[in-house]
Amino acid sequence: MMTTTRTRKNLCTDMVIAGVGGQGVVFLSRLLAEAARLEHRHVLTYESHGMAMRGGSVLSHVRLGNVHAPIVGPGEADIILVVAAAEIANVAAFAHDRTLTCVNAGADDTAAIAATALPGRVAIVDATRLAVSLQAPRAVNLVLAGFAGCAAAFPFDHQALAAALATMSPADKKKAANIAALKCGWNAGVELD
Amino acid sequence: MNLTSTRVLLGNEAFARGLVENCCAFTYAYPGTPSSEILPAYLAEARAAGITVYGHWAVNEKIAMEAALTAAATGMRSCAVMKQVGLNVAADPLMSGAYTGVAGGMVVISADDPGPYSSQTEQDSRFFAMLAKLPVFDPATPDEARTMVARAFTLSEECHLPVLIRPTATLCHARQDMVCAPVPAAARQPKFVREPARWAATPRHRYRLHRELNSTLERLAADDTFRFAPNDDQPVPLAVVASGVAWAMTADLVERHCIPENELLLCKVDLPFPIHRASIEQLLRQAEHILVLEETYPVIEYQFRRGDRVSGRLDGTVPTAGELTPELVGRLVTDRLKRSRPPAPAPAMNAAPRRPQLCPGCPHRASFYALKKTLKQGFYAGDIGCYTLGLNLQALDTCLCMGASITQASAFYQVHSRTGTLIPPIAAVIGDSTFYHSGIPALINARQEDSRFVLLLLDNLTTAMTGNQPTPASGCLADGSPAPAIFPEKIIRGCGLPEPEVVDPYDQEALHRALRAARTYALRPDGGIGVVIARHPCMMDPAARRQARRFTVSLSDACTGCGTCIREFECPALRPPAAEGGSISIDPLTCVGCGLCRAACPFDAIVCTPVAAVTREPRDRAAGEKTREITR
Repeated sequence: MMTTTRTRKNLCTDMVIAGVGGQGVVFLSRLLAEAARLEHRHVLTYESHGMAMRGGSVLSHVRLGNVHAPIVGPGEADIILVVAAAEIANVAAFAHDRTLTCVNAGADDTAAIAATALPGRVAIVDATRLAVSLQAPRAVNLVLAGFAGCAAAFPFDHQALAAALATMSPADKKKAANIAALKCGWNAGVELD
Repeated sequence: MNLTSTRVLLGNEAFARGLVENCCAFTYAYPGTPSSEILPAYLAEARAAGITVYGHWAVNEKIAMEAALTAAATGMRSCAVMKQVGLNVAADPLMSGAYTGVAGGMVVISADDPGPYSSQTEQDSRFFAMLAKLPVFDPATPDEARTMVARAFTLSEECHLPVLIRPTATLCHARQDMVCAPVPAAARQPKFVREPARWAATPRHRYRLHRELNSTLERLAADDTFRFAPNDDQPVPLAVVASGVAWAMTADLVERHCIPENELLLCKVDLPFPIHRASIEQLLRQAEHILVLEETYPVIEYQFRRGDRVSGRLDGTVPTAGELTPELVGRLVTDRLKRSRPPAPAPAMNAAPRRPQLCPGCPHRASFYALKKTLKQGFYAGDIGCYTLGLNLQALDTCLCMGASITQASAFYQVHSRTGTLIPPIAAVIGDSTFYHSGIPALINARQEDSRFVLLLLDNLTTAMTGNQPTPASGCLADGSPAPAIFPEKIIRGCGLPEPEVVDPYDQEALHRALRAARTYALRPDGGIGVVIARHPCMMDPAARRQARRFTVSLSDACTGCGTCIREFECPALRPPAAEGGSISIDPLTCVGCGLCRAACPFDAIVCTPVAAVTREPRDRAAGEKTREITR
């Protein structure tokens, strides 16, 4: 018979990642899960429903620690990563007063972000521009992850993420570019804490 | 934690891993969301572990179930995998197999879809297990998906019955870290022991087998392995009895809010049927009130047989349709505890989700467009697959269940013909995989009734909706090994119909012509069912995408922004005007350059310029550069 331990929620981190199809949201959740595995932490992830569509909304839930269900409840996300700024309205319900939300946004998106009025702290990085400047336009997700990694609240720094990248795809031809993307995000985020 | 044996697996991969860890040598499946990943993962896990297994995409779920029952009758361990509506198709062998039983262990994985998100119904496979009088497990986490396979095989061999495992979509598609068990080498050999009174039981023997089944269930209901209430009589104001993901969500809630055990007793049911009787009796003694949280139907709740002290779906405490969410579970539990509610959540997310659409370049869109233009004001009987999205194009009137389109077209014809009423143009629209699944008997029946309609077979050479599994025409098995290819035109000819015309739907003129000819044939006194096969590979097939002719699509000044193309053609790459009076635009990231939308503009404003055939393979480009270097 499985019983639950009724302890205060400690060492648990709930994360939500939002973006659109093709941006590597699912890849990012798998990367975080792999990073957790390497640090001997328990992890549960889940991609929220909806028929697969190119360009459609994708929402990933990543839960670290001793939890049972893979879904993050409303107002319970400690970290929110928004890969496409237009998706920010879809994650507003997950935020609480101490949530750290990292948004990939350019100058055009500031109005949308302000309109959402997320509780907690919102950090903005133009990950698309940084990824393009690295000539790795598909690595937006990794730039954003590296950026978030600077925050003390975020469970993995860029080195932990790089280690997870290496075990996930050992024969990755873009390995150097991917690690550069993580690092570039990290450098952009040094002032986060 | 050992890093090498700790893996992060999808719920469906965890099932596959469980099958391989438990020497399941034969697995039969029919693809269906949310169960489709299990069979490919099973083959991959076995390959990685260096053991030999047989995994097969059966033509339908009934065949998968019959094959698995037969393998288990020879003493081998077997499994049948399907989605919940597939279990309806497999009901006949399942019901009978509950009486005849198994020699080797047999597990049936039937994945439910509360919501529903990609199914016709929200039905609960655990109820089906109850109807068949078979035990059913309800795993709560991906790791439990793996370990419950082991428990199900053990139980199956102990009581000589097929045992069901019922996951929900959330579990199938969640990932979790787990410590995998080693894979033992397969040691069993098949040995069928003749026992006509069992394997070929006549009604007289069936009565005896039914009594045997009943006593097995009674024994299981008394088996303390499945106790779900703690073995003490400590009184408690509220007991929450839950199973599956509903339990996981409740457990998280209890831990997050530190609800003490003397306030709320949480009980996890692993085997919802047959339910552990002693636990039920004890909870009724111990708890002032009992709340049952389960998906999707009240299987556990019914077995309490006490409406006065038990609440759940039967008394409407829990909504009687739809999936459970952490938010809903939180509200149900806190309401019952009379605690202050957790802070009210922000307004509902994703206010206007986009409706699903056919992919850009999908050959089905071209077929539906031609169908609407040639059989105007017709009755279009649809079927199950990607092409159910023909609904968006106003080119589908019905969608009942797998294979129903042909029978619905036939019956629609008979209803009008036999009542002497005006017969509108009738079309049945069915995909290739669905045609094999259950369209063939329907075609034989329609032919025998001499029904007259157009049958449009949308043949994209794959089972597209569920992730491009092979069909009987693919010429290969689930593991990629070669197999005889069976083509639909031969089957259609075998029903006494003329050789159907095979058209590429990308050639709109040819498809219009073929559909009109089929309609003429259906109306001829000596005619029959006019069959057109619209054959073009699915655009999700990368090889097909590379081979396709490509156009650069743009809008000329003739565009009035009327939106006819979006309404009639509904390609995701067509974007409405940004402002009133503006022009339609093409999203270059979404457009695959098929050029099919040109036909949908009443003003000929969509301009398609052919792209010169360049090899787009990076490797080829690199090779080309090398050649240049050498020449230089």
